[in-house]
Amino acid sequence: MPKTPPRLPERFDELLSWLDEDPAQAATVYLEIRNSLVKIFGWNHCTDREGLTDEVFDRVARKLPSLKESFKGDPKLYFYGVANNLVKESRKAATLRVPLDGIDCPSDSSLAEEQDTREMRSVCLERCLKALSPEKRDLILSYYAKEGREKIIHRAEMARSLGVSIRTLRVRMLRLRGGLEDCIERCLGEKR
Amino acid sequence: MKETPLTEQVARSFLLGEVDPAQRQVIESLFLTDPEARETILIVEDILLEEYLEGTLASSEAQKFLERYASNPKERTRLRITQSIREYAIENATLISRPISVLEKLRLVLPGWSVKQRIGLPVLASIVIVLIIFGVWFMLRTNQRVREDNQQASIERQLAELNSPSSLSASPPQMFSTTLPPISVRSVQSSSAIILQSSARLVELRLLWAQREEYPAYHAELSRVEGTNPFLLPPLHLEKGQGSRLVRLRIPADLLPAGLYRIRLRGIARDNAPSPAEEYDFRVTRQ
Repeated sequence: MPKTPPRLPERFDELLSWLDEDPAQAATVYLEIRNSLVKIFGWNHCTDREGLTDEVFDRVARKLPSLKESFKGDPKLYFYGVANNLVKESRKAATLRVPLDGIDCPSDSSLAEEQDTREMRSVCLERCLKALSPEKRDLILSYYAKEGREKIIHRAEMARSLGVSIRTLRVRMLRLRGGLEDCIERCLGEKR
Repeated sequence: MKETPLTEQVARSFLLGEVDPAQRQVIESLFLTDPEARETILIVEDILLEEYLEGTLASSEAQKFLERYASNPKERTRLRITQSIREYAIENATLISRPISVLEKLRLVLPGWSVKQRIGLPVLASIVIVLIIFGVWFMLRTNQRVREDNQQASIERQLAELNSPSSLSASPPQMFSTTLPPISVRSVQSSSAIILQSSARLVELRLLWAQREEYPAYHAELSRVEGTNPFLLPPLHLEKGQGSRLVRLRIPADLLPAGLYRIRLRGIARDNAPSPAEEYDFRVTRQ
């Protein structure tokens, strides 16, 4: 379920019910908002994205009683409004963001890591690929097997084989890769 | 909120931090509320990521991309993981695909083109190729014709020199001479034969003039019976002696490869009216 529920647990169920009457659907919407906010904080160069996202949910939960009465429209927009305020605050404070000038951007050479980390990543990748079903494993490996113009044609051929549009295939592969990356990240965390 | 769908181009500008704050807010709220816009942004983000990892992102865009997607260790780890997946896939993948048509491939590599433009492209390319081929053929043909015309003019100049009155009075060495009667008075059926030695440099043809009328000048045309352009010979003159009247014509031997030739000779009156033509055939054999 939720990664980090709001720090006001008594309001969490209330918040979910505000998002949707159906609890299962509410949980899905909650995760969707949460993941989106993490992304939005990332695009705005905020370093503690998870922490800021928690803060958004806390603030909304605090205002929930009055919100339920007064706010009309898509609750997601309210969450965004709060997040946007937090972005502005963090910019003003200049402590929750990394200034553009000071960003530690990796050069191409810094992307080539030390051999041990590379090996760890390779071990974790193979482990996580094995955890996938053979169909999904073949699918994601085939999807990323080509580069440049060949890639475009190959993916169109894949989409045709699967009977879906290229856009649908890309979204499907994005989700699949996202899950795989999460798995590898966890695996790397265990090994460190 | 959703007035026009979010295009991939706008999404790209947004993800590279190239939009103003107001536009940024609109797009970010769409990311939360509009599933289609969300999908577009995620797809474009993935495209940018792939372009970065493939090294096909322009350097200015690559810099902006890094500022957004590699500004902390966690993001860099994520980037490396994505890179590892791609590298592993390139080395180990079993391809799952089914071939697609040429037209579809064109559509994919020319994404911004309309169906009409994409269909028109091969047609246009074919037309251009045909035009180029025709142009090259026409140029070669024209060049060849010019070359042939120049060659013919050069030969006709050479014939004019050889047949000028002063040249005709000289007797150069290695000259082969023969007398040809016109076809109209010849009793034998076969053509006159000229056997040329390789040493022969010049051939003098003595064309017997059988017509009663005499003219101040005579025009001759030499052509090969197998069909090449006739050479127009310079004005010639009738010569009289020992009971015969003839027109002498000198031709360089190298202009006469083995074969059957015909000369048409006409007298030209003072008013430039031509007489009926006399024809002379001869066969050249080389030794």
